[in-house]
Amino acid sequence: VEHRKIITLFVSILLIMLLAVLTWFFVNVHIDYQFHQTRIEKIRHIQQEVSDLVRNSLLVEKGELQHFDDVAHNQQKLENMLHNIAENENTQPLISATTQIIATVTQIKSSHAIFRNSLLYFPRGVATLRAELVNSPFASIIEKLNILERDVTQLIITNSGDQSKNILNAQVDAIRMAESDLPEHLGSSIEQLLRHTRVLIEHSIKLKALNKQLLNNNVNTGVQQLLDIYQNDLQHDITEADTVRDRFYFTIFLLIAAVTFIWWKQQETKKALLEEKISADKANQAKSEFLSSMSHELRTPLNAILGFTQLLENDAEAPLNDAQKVNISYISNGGKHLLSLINQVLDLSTIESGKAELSIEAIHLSHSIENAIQLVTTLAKESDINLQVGIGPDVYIDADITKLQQVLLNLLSNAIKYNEKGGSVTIDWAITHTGFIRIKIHDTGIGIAQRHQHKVFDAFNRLGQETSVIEGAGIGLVVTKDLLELMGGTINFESEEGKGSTFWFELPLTDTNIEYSHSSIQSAIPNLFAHQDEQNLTGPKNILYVEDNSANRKLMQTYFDKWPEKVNLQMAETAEIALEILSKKQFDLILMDIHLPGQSGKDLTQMLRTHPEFKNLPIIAITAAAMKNDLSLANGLFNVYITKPLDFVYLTEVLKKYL
Amino acid sequence: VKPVLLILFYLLLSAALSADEPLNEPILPIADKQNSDPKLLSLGRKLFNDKRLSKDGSISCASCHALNKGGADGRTVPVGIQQQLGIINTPTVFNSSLNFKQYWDGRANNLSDQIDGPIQNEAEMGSNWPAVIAVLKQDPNYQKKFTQYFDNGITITNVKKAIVSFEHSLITPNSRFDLYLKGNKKAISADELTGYNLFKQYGCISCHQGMAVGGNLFQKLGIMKDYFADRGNITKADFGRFNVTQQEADRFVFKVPSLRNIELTAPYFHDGSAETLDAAISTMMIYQLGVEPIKSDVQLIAAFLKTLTGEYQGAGLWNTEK
Repeated sequence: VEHRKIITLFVSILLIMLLAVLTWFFVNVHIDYQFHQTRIEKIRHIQQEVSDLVRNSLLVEKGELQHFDDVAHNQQKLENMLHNIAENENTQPLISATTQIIATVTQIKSSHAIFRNSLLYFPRGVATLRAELVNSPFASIIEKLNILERDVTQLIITNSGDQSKNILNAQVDAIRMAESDLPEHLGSSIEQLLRHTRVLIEHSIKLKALNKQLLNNNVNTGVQQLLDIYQNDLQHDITEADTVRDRFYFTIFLLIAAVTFIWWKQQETKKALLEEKISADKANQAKSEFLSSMSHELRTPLNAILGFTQLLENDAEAPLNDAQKVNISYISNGGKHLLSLINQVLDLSTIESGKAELSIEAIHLSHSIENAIQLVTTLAKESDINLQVGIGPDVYIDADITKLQQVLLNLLSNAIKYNEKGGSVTIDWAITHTGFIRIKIHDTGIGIAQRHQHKVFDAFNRLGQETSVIEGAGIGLVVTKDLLELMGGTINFESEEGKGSTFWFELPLTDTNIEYSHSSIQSAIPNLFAHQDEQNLTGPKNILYVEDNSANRKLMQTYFDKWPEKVNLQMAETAEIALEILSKKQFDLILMDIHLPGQSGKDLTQMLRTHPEFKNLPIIAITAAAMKNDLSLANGLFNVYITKPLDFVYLTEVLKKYL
Repeated sequence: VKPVLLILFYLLLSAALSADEPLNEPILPIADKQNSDPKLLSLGRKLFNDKRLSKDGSISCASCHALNKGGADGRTVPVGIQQQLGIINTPTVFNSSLNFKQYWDGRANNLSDQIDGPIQNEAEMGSNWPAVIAVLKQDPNYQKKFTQYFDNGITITNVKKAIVSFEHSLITPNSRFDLYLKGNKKAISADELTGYNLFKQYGCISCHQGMAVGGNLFQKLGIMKDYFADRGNITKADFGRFNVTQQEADRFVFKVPSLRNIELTAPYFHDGSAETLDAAISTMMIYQLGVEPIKSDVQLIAAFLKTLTGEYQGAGLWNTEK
């Protein structure tokens, strides 16, 4: 699943990046396109301005425009435009053609002004001179003047150029020859006229050439060349934009496809996970059922072992000798240990399935510690461990008393178990500044190797002690931690290999300091009929014990044998036999095993409860089915529910109540 | 009777209408419009009059382009920082925006480029842009005004924009001749009108035409007679446009100056050689038009030229000192 997620993420990122790159390309192409379009527009503007310039220049020459403002304006604009286009090999022809045309127009303006000026002067000059010559000895020059006037007019009208230039120059020279002996004022008048004539000739030819340049300018060629290139660029942009756009759409398509695919895959994964969860739940249920039945199967023989051991130990009529006592104590301890292991496994499964139930109450801490110490004293002595109870404040804490006992026993027994001969275990406690009580259990044992320390609270991990002689299932600390956390506490430790460990746990302090009374642990089975002896001397009590296991039947028989006159115990191996017995005889109380071959004890009880005869009959369940599920199912059906292995002290108290 | 009356009425109407009809002449009246932003314009005016723009703080733009001296300095050549003399006569700043190029040789295409010249000319303001910008930046008043108008505050471009904006406002409309051109025939006297006709007949009009009465073409000084040979003592400044183009044809070629407000801007020509209007007209007749000047005609033409004096900010420039 992780692998696939990474791939889809990678593909999505890749596509988004591709999209970004394409967007970038697209923007670039768009910028290029705009740039190229602006470039074309600029060129077209130049073309337009040049055309205006040529037109205005021609209008000036035709006399239709009497000033150069428009031409000068066109020139100025063109110069600015040229300033704004980059010069390169493509634009060079246009730039030079336009520059050329500006230069041409500049010359035309100047030349036109000069030509026009002389043109104004010429007829006036001829007329004045003619008037001066008429009555002078130099009248002959008039003839030459007339020819000059005619030819100049001809030149101006036809604009015939070079041929006229030669003829006119010859005439000018002829007149100049004739003037050599003229009086000064006439001479200078003729000189003035001839100067204007030369200007007219020169500038008419010059203007003709300039106008030719103006009309045959290369601007259009330059523009066309440039436009061809620029249009090509523009076309290229459009094609590129199309390509990019296509790719863009394709990528979007891919992205949508990818997203759809990922979504579909996710749905599939969800479905698969759901199925996995369902099967996991089933497996978990199966595990619970397995544990339930296992505990039943294990507790049943254990009941026999521990029960008979108790009876042997407490049999006043046939007390054991010392050797027997020791042997029996081995059986008892082994059984107890096995029982605690089973309980631990059960606890773990209960806690982990979230079904553990707590009853948090104010607990006198030092009492709890005392009790726990008492329970491990034997173990400590056997292991030659010095058990020291340190000092600590006398406080009450909020905890579940049995769970707290379990935690303390666990940690203390660990400290003893994983210790060395002659070592010590110290327990002390103190209030933390956060309002918790911190209980420290310090040992001088083997410690936990650094490399194992992170696995201390892992289930079924014995931290390299698997092959050691020390007994354990590797779940004690897990259960301890779980229990503490359930009670709102924490646990931690410090350890150095070879030097020992310190485990500490913290639990909340009780807000109010109220004295609580505590029942002491009783070990001797009390007399069931202690009070009844004096009060009522009714006949012996009839008790029916429904139990399939013969060892358990024997155990119960032995227990009641303590009071042979007072109790009449009858047994039934199955529910069916029990029913038969019940139909024949009245009983004061029924002890009912739940797990029976055939009809279960629960079903039998349910059936009995429907009859008014048995409706109020005390029925006590005695079962190894210690799972909470079983308890909840039986709720309200039985008067009391006692789990195996039997605690006869407790059983005695229950019986006292109902008999 | 009725048709006669109708015809009479029609004639009167057309006469009345034609009274104010603009004339079709080679000279155009100055359009009285101002596009400059008033704030920018006033900033430009401040800069134009600010002596700190010169190296030693002794000279402003207005030192040589004095608005009360027809937009020029009344000298043959300008006097720059440390009393240095310039090499060419100061052209008027009035109507400079109407010129198609700036300077006598037309080396600047626009007013913005022109500003670089006097600022950096050693013999004029003798400064440089970094120095100018540094000085302006020290002035909180400038800081404030520039920031108000420009996003990027005080920069070379923005200083130029402000000054150019001010210069664009320096146009002089409503001269008596402009009123005449707009159709008010009584705006000029008979002599002045005769002067104008002579101006056209002699051919002055060939170069001095358009709105600025010049300023839109280059022309050689000494078309009909060698001006510089007669004057002598030729300097580099006399080469005119040649200094820009290095073309032989451009030697002694200058921008034809505008004749607007000409009576206020003596001495005349690029070399400031003509002290009076009459002298200038005579010189022009000899060297440019190739005619012998007749004193009476010169005076009439001068009379016409004086009708070209216009208004600045609604006040007649004819009132300024001459």
